[in-house]
Amino acid sequence: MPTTMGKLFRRPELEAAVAAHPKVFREKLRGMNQPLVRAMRPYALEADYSYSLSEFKTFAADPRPLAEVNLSVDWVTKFGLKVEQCDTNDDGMISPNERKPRAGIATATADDSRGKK
Amino acid sequence: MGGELSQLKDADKPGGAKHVLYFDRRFVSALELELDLRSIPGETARAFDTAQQKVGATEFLPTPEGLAILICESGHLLWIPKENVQNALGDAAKIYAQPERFDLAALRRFDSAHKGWLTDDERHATRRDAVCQQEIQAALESSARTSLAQNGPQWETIFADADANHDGKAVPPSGT
Repeated sequence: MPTTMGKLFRRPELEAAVAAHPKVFREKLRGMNQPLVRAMRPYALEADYSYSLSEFKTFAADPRPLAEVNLSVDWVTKFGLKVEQCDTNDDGMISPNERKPRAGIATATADDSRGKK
Repeated sequence: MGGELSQLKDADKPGGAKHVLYFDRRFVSALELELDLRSIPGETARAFDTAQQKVGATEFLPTPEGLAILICESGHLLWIPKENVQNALGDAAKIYAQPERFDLAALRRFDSAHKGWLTDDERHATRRDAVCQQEIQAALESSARTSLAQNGPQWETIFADADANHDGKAVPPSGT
């Protein structure tokens, strides 16, 4: 194992890691219906769409499927967003309608551009 | 029976129409059940088989008293009593053994009728219950710690293998 580890860039490296180990990630990816790089946002704490070893292990150790994490409201607070602004109907989930950008509110979707060069 | 997602494709195969996936709140992976249609009239069974080949032509409604299945086009309503459903789920859970969800204990006490899921009101109650939320967070962290202790070295190897350049810089995306 190398002494220096970089980051897993979205498509070439992250998806390769998942594709090379389907049994390891099968449960994590169950029910996911969006690109992996987008679904992984809750774990990209450095907001650069690349994943350090620490971020990758946080993702892997989370007992919840990735689809469930994306629906949950809890992760938005890690990015300075308020739950009540993202989960407007207070049902504990962020629905597709609630993901749509709204004026004056940096929603999870509106924030997709971060990390893009 | 089994819990593999790949078996969803089996619905296209002969006999696959009788196999349904049940998303039990206790587990992450669905349980697969096989419907026994021998006790219903042949015409109804054929209507069910036909409906199962069309998206949205059958509707499944779990209730506290049992499982209702509506064949939309013909209007037939099939009913499976709670006892039968629970016996089948128990058998399926033994065949496809998996650990219970990390948050099950914290949420179970809000399931007033012990029906196996939470209503909207019950779910709201869990979100407003500070003790429940603390329990869930603690269980989540505990589960993650355990998993990390068991699998951390494997994940480090996977990461190292995928991080091809080891230079700390992002590889230019190809085909994006």
